[in-house]
Amino acid sequence: MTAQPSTQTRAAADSAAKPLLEVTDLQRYFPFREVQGLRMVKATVKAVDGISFTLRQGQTLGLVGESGCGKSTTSRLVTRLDEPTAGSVVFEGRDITHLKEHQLRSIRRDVQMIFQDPYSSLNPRHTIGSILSTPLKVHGLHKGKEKARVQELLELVGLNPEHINRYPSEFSGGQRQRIGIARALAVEPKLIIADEPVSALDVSIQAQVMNLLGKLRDELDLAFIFVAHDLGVVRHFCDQVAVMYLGKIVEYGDKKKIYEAPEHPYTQALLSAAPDINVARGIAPKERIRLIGDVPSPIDPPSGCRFRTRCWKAQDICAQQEPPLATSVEDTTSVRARRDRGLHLQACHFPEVKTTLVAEVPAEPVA
Amino acid sequence: MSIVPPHDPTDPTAPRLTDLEPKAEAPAFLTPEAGDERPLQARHIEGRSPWLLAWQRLRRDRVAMVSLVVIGLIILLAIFAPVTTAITGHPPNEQYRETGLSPDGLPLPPSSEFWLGTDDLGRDIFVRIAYGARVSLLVGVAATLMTVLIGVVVGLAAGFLGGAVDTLLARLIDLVLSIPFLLVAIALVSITGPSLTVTVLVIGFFSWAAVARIVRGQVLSLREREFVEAARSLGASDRRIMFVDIMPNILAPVIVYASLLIPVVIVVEATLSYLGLGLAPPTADWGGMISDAQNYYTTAWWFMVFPGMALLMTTLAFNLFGDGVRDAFDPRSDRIFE
Repeated sequence: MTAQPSTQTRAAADSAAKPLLEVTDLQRYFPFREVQGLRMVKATVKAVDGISFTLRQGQTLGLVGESGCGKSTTSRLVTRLDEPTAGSVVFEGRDITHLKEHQLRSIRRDVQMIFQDPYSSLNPRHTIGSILSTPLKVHGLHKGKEKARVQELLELVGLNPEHINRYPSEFSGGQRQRIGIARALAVEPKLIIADEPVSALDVSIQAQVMNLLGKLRDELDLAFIFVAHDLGVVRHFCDQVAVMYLGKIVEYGDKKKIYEAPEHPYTQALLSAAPDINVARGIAPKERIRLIGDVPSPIDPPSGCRFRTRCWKAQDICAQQEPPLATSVEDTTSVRARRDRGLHLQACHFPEVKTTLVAEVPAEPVA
Repeated sequence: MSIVPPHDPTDPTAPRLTDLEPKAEAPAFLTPEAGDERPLQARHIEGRSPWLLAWQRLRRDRVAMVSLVVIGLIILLAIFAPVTTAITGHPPNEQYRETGLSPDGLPLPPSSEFWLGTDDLGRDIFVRIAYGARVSLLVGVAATLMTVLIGVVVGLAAGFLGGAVDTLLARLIDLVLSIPFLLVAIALVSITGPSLTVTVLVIGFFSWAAVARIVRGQVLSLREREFVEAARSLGASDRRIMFVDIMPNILAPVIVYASLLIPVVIVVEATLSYLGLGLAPPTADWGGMISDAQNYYTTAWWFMVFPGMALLMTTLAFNLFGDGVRDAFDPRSDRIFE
């Protein structure tokens, strides 16, 4: 157990809202061997390299970033589908970082996952009834009344309970994603990790599925980790946002702060790249920050600040010193206190508030 | 409380209940069919399983259906082989040296007495073909079943468990595939002596590796699919994931392979008995009959042609049927929605 004294004092301080999930310095390195010429070279991909966050009951954290920044790996680590290399994952005060599969049974009930691809996440050879009753059977829930529960779940996600004997191929993408959501809800979890749950869907269907998730979150008081690259969806759905770049969190904070006063240049670049609805209304487009080049390889990330190779502010110090996830321009209180208040953290040597980059996303979802 | 204003039939612009009917995301097949007044529970909506879809596709394949009928007839012939004895009055191993051979001791051509002629010992070829069908089908089905069973289990274990188990099993598969089959089969039978069991075991032992390799490849790709991940995140055990989640997904290629393997096995069995490694002599067996006939084919064509035809018809029917099964399971030939 990693019973750090600071964790305990903090737990005492805000016992009113004990964190549901606490992730500290989480790392996942994938070792691999590569043939270079005639030599076998060992290397590691640093997919997730020391990230920390906390989540309370009913809260939603958005993880955003480009492909390959470690969002999905993080979600697999938190659900313990994968084992972290270092760091800790504490769920309801229980350290689950290195538990064996048979010790994870209760976690498998409390933490559920919604997958990205509704075409791959449902077994094509099983009926909807069998897909939705599997979690009940595995955990011995609603014994003898599985069918009634499955129909109840189908109704909960807005599907016709008569379709219990149909196969996934008989449903549309949006309907399949609803089935995936129903499967996650079947065991009555406390935390749901949604790995880009709408990015495989049509835009018109995205809004419906997002509205459904929002409704269920409010009704069932669920905590969410919402992995996405669509900033508009995250803004609509999340309380906190963590922006990731190459396996690290570069900016973390309240949704409002991240979207309205981003401080890290990468966050600013991401926000300025989002489509601006005002352009369609005839207003001149805002200045865009164009990033040059690709994300560097996570096998050999840049020294110091990982973003420096694409950053327009980069100076010598950026290559020498890694900026800690701490200094916010506006706030001078301690890091921990700020994180607990759900405020604003960023990791840049030259942070600067920019308020003109906000992508205009509709405040209310399009139904 | 109703938000729908009372409907005024005289006002065409008034909102009607039906205007509010279509739900956000409800394609036609989701809404109950018009006129169906039965309550929700009473109507049982049956999904079309991938198996049912494949069967529906197969039923439209005329060649496959004709082959299926031919296979059915051969199976009937095998089952009711004693009936042929009852009709003709000729047991399969009875040698009619007086009535079944010419004065020179040669086989007799087809006649009303011997429908497909007689062989070199004066036995009824028609009856012997019927009894020979039993051997061919039995060996074909038994060896194929054995092949599939071993192949699926080994392939599943190798693909799903991975690591050292996979390395070991994959090398074993390579090893078995590299053994020269006929040579070892001849050596084995010469030690144990020919029998039905040995034939089945020999064929099964040398054929499973190909199935295991196919299954392993399928499992390797299925293991990465999200529904396996989903099953794991629900807390399903490895065994459950292997046999409940993955296995139904590999059955289609396995069934296709098996249906094409049956004719191969039948030919292999005939080959073995042609080489004298099949069943012990008096037993009727197509391969053995062809082998016996090769000294007489210039004088008694029927002796070789009819057993050969039986073998050809059977393997052809199984092959064509297997092709049909493959087409039916192939999602690209999605003719059901034409």
